[in-house]
Amino acid sequence: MSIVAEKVSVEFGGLRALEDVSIAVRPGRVEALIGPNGAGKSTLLNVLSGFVKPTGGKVYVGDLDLTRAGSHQRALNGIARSFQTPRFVPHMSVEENVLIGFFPRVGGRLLPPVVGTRRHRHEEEAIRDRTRALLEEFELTEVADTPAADVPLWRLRMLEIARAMALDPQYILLDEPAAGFDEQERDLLSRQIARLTEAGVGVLLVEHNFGLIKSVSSHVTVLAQGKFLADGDPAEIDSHPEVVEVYLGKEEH
Amino acid sequence: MTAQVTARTPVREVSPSQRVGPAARGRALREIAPVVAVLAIAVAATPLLLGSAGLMDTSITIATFAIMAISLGIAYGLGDMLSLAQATFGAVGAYATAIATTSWGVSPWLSLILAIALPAAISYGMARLIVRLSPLALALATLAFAELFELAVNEGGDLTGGYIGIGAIPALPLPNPAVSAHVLGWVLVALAMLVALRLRASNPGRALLAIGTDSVLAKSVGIQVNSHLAATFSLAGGIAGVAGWFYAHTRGYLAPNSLSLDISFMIAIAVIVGGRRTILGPVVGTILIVLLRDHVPGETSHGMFYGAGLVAALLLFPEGVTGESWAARWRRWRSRSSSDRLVRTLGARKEGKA
Repeated sequence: MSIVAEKVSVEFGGLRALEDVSIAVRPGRVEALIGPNGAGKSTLLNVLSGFVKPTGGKVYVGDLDLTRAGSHQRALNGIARSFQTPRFVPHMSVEENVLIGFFPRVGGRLLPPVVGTRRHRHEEEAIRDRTRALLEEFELTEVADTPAADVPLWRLRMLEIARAMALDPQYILLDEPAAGFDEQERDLLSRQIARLTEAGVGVLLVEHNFGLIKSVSSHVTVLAQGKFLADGDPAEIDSHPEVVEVYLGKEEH
Repeated sequence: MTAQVTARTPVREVSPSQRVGPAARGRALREIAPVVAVLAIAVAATPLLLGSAGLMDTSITIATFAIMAISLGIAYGLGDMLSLAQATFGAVGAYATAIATTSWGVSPWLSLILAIALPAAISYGMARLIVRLSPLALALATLAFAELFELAVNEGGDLTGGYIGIGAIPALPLPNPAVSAHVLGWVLVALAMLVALRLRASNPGRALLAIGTDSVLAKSVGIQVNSHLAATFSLAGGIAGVAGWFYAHTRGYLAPNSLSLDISFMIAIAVIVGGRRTILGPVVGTILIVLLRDHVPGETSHGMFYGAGLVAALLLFPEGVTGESWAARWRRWRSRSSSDRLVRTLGARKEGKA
């Protein structure tokens, strides 16, 4: 079962942000999405996660048509995402920020926690245990109790992925997760992505860093000015003349 | 970015799983401390209040309004929904129990259920309609509801007693009415605080903070923003209903202007002054404002004192009196010259608002 965007178009007030673009994210694979600024990468990611409704085309998970489903429904259908500028609750601790990700699992009913039912207490303990494991996995344990506003960017990006993992997603959409990373941080990220795919999670990776793409991804789609330009394995794309011209040639990589 | 790189292999003296038990227990105890403190002070103060009917009455008034303030603390502090109808939701509960006990002969204890369920249901229905609105429009919508409700009970004929209201509402069947009302009032305050506390530390409470900070983030993790806010507003309405129930059975008399807009405004100010994001804030704010109200002259000039008090509080304590530790406040004030003190407070106010 894959998540598929089929001939998706998006218009913002007469401006065509995407035109007939298709992409598929397969379980256990990393689909890389590249293109120069303004190519429509983030828009496509927003279409897949439900934050932008396409003016044409469809979005499926398996046979399920999610084109009109709201963003929270996408999350409930196993599609998690991170944001280009990390989103978090600044005055809450890193641990609590990850705990937010368990919302669908525990549910939003107010009375069980207020009354303090045994079942709710067990559930809270369970998600706290799982959160500790996630914090450990994403190297966040030492800042678990620190307000999220006080931790560096690379940790916030890890926090976002950890929070997304709390959803137990089938797919995870990462919007430039390595932006601003040094080499060491990039290595950590690529190890984490490799672990996600080993667990069967399908990853969409919007990224500029071709080194990272080569290390984790098997298939690359290239967009330019809202249109499909090329796709193929990383080596093909790296030497694809048109891609080099519009994109790679202008970037240092 | 390079400056932000920190050691990746921290030395951990204790493994995370080992420190969980005591830490969680310690956290639970620390969190419950304000509730225990409020209840202990109220009970300890009982002998002091016994001699004076006036003081006992003030204590019961504070407890009543504190419950409403805590309910607003949930709606506004956690959910960022400023309701100017918390006293009205209290009035819904008060009228429900007044009618049930005087006209239908229901026991006050049984009618407590009605006094919670009715305002909870009304506030849920209302919230479903208004949670999409901007914060200001939402506040104005609650204000409109308060006006409508007052109009409705005025025109309610025999059911609500019209502008005369409902008298002879039975007192709670407890021994030593004054003392037991005082104790029960503060037990209800403590219970309401406990509800707010548990909600804050739970999955739905964290979701509310996420919604308040960033609804895009909230949706991305699967939170149904509107229905979650509506449920929260409903819980706040139900708690306000408890306050109304307590009001009706301790006053024995209820009229359209008993729990009207000016009380809602007073409660909103209490929550803002006390600190809407803390557990103790609404209670501290209510104590301050009720004492202020009782000790400033002239009913008609109260608005002026409220207004001045609100402005002063916002300048001095943007997050409320309980919003920041007093030790930190003192250190900061001592370390700064008086000239940039004002700049600092204004700056802090801006941050607090953002």
